[in-house]
Amino acid sequence: MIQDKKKVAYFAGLSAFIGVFENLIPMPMPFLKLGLSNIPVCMGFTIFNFVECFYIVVFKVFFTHLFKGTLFSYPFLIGFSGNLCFIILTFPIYRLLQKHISFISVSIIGAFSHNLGQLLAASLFIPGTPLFYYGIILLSSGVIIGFVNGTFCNIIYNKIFLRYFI
Amino acid sequence: MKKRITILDILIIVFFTSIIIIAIITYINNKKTSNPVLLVETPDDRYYYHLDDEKEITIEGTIGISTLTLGINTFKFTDSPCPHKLCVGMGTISRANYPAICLPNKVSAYIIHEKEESDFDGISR
Repeated sequence: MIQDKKKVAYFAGLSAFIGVFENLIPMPMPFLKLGLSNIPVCMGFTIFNFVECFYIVVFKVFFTHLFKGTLFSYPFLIGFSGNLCFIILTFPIYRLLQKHISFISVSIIGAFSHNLGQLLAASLFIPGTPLFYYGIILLSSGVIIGFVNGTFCNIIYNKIFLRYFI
Repeated sequence: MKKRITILDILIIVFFTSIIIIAIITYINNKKTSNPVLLVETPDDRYYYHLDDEKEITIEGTIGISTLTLGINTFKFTDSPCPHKLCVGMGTISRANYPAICLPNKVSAYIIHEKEESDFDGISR
């Protein structure tokens, strides 16, 4: 049990650490990110239950926004909504299809659900056409980034994860 | 967990790629702008501006006044009362249907096709 808690803390820390550095990478649109911080979360799906993964995600959101200086502001709300949507949708899909899919699918579904959550939160501020166009760009890039991250996840899972964490 | 890409993976990739392609086609179809017009939306109003001259405009949002600088077929947020200035950070936008949004001030702006809004002569509705 203690070992499990240590692992949760390790994954939460790793995810948050990557999340902080990810924010330093300049992107052409606000809220568009490379999603590298979700790689440890996706890995965590294979060894943790829903509650433990939820802890990792919540810690990541609070920690990254704390360092960014946007805690409890509107970027936090949008980020939190995206991560909440990510964990609520992706984890059950992963559990349902885990014997038939690789991390590429998990990552693509994760990116899509994350961006969907962000758009839902953003719709509280701006309804209508601009958000629709923004959504097209965000969701399209999310799927492409999800595919790339999923490929990375597959490599990391085979080369590192299976050796050190299972 | 499968270590390599599977058939279901490919099906999921195809599904999401087709969504992207449909979305991009919709986006490109709405993007053809021979004579672009800037549409600025606030919760209460909509404003239209011709992008044929350099000028500065101010728009009143929910928390204050946003300033936009218009150029020839371009625009950018130059000042905003929001704390993080993400809208200002988006820089100059020249592409149609590529919105710049200030969420706290609830002001959004994007370039549209003039044909749709030719009744409005650059000021407001």
